[in-house]
Amino acid sequence: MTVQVAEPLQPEPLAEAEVEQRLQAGAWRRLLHDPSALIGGAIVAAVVRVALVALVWTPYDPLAQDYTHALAPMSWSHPFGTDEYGRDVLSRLMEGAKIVLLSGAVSVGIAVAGGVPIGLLAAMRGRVVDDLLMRAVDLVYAFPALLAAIVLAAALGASTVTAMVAIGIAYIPVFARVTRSSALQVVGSEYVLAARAYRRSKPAIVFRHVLPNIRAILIVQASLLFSLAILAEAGLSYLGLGTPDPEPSWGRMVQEAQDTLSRDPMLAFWPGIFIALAVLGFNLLGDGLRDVLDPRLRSTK
Amino acid sequence: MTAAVHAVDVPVLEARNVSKVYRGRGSSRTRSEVHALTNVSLEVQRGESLGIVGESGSGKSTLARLLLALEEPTSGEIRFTGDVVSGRPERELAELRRSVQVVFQDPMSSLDPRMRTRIAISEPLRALRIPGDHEARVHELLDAVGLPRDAADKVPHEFSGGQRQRIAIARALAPGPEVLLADEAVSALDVSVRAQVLNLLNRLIDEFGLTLVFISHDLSVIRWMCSRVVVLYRGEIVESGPTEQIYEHPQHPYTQALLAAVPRIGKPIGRSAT
Amino acid sequence: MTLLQVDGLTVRFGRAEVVGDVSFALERGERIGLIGESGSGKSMTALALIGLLPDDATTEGRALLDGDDLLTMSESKRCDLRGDRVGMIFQEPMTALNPVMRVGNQVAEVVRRHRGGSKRASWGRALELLARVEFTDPQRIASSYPHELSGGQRQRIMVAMAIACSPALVLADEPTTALDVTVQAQVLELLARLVSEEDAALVLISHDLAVVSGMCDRLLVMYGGRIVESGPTNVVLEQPRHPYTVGLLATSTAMAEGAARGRTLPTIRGSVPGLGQFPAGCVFRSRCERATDRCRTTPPLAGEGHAFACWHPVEPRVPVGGAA
Repeated sequence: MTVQVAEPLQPEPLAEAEVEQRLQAGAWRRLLHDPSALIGGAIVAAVVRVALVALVWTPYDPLAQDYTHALAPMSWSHPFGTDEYGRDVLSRLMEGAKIVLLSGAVSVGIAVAGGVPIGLLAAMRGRVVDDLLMRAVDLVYAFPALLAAIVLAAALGASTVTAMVAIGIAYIPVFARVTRSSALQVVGSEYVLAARAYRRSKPAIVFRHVLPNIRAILIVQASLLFSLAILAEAGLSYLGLGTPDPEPSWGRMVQEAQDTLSRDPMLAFWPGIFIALAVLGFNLLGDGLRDVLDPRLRSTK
Repeated sequence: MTAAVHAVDVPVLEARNVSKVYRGRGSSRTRSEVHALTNVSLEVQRGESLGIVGESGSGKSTLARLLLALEEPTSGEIRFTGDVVSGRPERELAELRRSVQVVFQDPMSSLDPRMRTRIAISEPLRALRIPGDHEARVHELLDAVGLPRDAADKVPHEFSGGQRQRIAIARALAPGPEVLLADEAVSALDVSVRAQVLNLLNRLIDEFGLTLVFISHDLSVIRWMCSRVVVLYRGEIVESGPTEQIYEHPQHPYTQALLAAVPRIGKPIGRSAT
Repeated sequence: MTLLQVDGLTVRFGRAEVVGDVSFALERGERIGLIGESGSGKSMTALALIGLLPDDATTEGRALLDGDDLLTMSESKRCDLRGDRVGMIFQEPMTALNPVMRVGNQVAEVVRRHRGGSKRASWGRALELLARVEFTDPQRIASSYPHELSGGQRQRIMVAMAIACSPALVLADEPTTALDVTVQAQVLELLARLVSEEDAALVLISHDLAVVSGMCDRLLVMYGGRIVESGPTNVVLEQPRHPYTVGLLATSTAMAEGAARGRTLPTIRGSVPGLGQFPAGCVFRSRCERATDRCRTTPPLAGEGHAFACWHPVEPRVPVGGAA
């Protein structure tokens, strides 16, 4: 006598959430507990807030020179002192935060706008297109970003934007590759195959399946690239190829501070430390995001 | 239900002398070639349950993709209700796409992890531009596959493997297909869940008059589900015929070896039989 | 003396119990099969025995191998044990084998680690072992890298490594699940023969009832981290008492017999609950049609020889010649 269990008339109750759901539901909670994400997030938030404030107000006009108060030490009226032209360092630092965010946003924006479509095309349009695009990407990748920035600056004159365009273009290969590899994974999955079987067109597959599923990876990449862009802008401005006088890019401020290094070393220290902090902040945030999103990404193989 | 009327004896799906060769990268001298399928011909009659048995390297997954017109054969033809579909541009394949649907193997990747069930199940309706009340259809399908209505709002990771396969089946049935192709659809499931899903499939086949093409390496499952069997080995059909005949009197050495290798409950392994 | 004595083995992840109060004894040369589906705890049991559980797992109970408690021994002692007294075979050889090392060297390394000797001597032994696992050209295989070999070949190498030092116990966790049927048969026969030649005990873990019943003298049926039925293979197969065993058997045998019996397979209603979601009391009661209030209390695994954990066991079948 065997146990014959008839198919239930009522649909079976749903299984309780498995470990994966624990992972999902916990994702936000984990983000809040992840030290990288917390610290990075705090730093980034601080930079953003400062930049927002600087949009409407700084204690002094960052560009206003006042020779009577040149190289003033830290005081209540000038918390970070003044530089050799009498400009309030705090105001310049705040203004610089705007440039930091702008440069990051422009670079990453260009890199994403250029890299993601290239990566998607390479992943979805067949081997010939893939080879062509990826070799072109390799070429750009091999070309030193610095050289590109110099060329651009020479041609169009140094400015924040030209520097950022150069950096952005230089980072297109990164996004192209990351997009391509994760898009390939999605496209190779069974649900995309099933979608093709019910007649989803390629563009529809991209928008309905590929992009939503690679979003997380791109966000992590963008965050990490943001930190690199900040560093790059600072470097270029230091070399005189980026933000020109008298705009207070932090990198530029470091360069200017070189002239008066013996008399007031702190002038170089403050912008330098803030550059480091901002880079660290975005880096940590990116790491934290990756830690949190990775297990889920792994399970969506 | 699709209302197309076809001559009774035209096979609903057919492969004629189909070969598929995959070429690796490199010049013609250094490139590696994989002969996934060689000169395969088979017919799927309307209303039957055809089993395709093959192990790894047999070419069964390739055959599935060719029958679904997701890939082109290197040579030979694929026909749907008598009309050639291989080599045709995508825009001419509307009828095929609506009538032949597939359920794949891996419950982990058969559903888009970010899509809610109601969207996932109704995707074919949108893609194929089928009018009507999609919401109602989703409910209808959830009932048909034995899932509760509130499953519609959940995401794949909230379900077990067996439930995900049910959702995949619901999705496949959404456009009212005539043919259901199951590519190792239960292989990744536990035995007890497998039984449930197989029972479900049988019920749906009876209820909707479906034609089933069941691809698997699992001989017991094929025997249970299919009335006719085709045995694939290294890209070629080595034997085909009614299920019982193949299982009781296999002719080809490979089929015989395959059947002999299947472990059976109570059959001792590696010791003298007690 | 009993080779392996497991008492009250319990494994938890936080509050979720994945292995609950597992106890069994294994004699020298005996073969037992752990059978269960996902969530049954069978793999976790094996991992607990060889000390390969994830860091956040907690264990209770004892597992004495020739008197040494596997659960509490130091990691270095465990490393000495693995490959020596205990040979292991896992499901996916690609992850167990070093992809950048020639296969022969990997086998030789096992020998050298536990038995010492020169590189040449251990290489020679490696070739011997490869011949024992039925490679007709051991030299060529030994010089190959894992990716150059097929799945079946890689598993045979795992078998070679497992028996390299004539272990007292071989632990095989789903050794053939990822292989084609024809290859599976070959590997299982090989494993059976070698275990027999080495006079080793075998713990075979699988979800495949046919495999386990074909290889093992005794079966332990696991569900929800607990042993729900255990006993000699033929007794459990012919006289299953636990409803889960009965259900599992019914499904497996029905499929093997083909569709002549009509179109509905016997099934166990519901599905396996997720981690930490098994009901209190009898783990199976949420899916059991015989469940009553009594089942809120955990039934003990009771019985000599043939034991089962159920308050309402299925009646033993009246032995009749032929299928029921």
